[in-house]
Amino acid sequence: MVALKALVVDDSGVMRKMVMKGLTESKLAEFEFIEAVDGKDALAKFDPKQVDIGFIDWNMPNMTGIEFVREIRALYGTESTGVPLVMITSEKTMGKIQEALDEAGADAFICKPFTVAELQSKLKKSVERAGIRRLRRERAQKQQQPSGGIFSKLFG
Amino acid sequence: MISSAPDDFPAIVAGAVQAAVELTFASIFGEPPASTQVDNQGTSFARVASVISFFGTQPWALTLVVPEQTAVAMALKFTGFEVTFDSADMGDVVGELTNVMAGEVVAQLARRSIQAQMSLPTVARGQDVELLRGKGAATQRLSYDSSQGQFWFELSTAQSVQRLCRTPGTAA
Repeated sequence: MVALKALVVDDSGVMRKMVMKGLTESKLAEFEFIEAVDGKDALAKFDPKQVDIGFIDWNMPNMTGIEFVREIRALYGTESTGVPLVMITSEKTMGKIQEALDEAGADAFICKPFTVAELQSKLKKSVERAGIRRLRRERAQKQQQPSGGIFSKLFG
Repeated sequence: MISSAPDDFPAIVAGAVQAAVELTFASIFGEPPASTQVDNQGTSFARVASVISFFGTQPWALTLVVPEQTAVAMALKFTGFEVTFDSADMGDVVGELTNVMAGEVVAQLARRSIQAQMSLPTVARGQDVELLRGKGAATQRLSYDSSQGQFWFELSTAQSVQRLCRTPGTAA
């Protein structure tokens, strides 16, 4: 199983714990979590070379989740589009869902309260995509590393 | 514009809140709470109160008030882990419950052709803690009994109540 680096963004510490617990129990992948308390904090912690997938609340102080998603897509362009960004929010009107998925560039939308079964069914594709991207990145990094060549022959 | 008698809380908004309470609490706790009359006037007890304001057709606020015993039982059911009443997490739990409820209220209002946006929750905890309302505000209390215990919502219309709350995306 691939260990994915997941960015969990929510101003509520309890909700971050609930998201991390739900994701762990979903067994969709092994997760290593990076926590952020709002969009601004998440922006500082986001690195498309490190983060495999993001789970983002909508309503937060300082910078909302939707502002964060727009900012990431604008800042990193195609490099960031490989990172699935999932909204986990209490917002549930069709307008907000469309705004997140069609305009801002979020990959999935999960309404609070959520169950582990919902996470499993709604996140399967996003987690798979994140896993494939992670494996490709690891493979590319391995190929870039010097294989040892003459040095390994010289010094064992 | 939502029309109502000057001193009445708008029935259409109260109806949306009732529908949201039933849906939200049924999905979290497995069954909808029963509407009841809670008469605790003059009774002193510790509680958590969480307020969210709504902006749009008409500004109004919703306050969830949860007595200590109910709060502890609700927190365990909602989060899946124990949260003590005095912990910092308790404020988070009740704030998040109000937030989830408020999201459903916005969806219920949209179905009734009323547009609304919600603020971030503001939470207070203490003995007999009560949030002050603006002068002349129309108010309504919706009380419930559930397997986790009693709790209630206080709804109030007011221009000034929105100043209590924080707008998403702004400084905390």
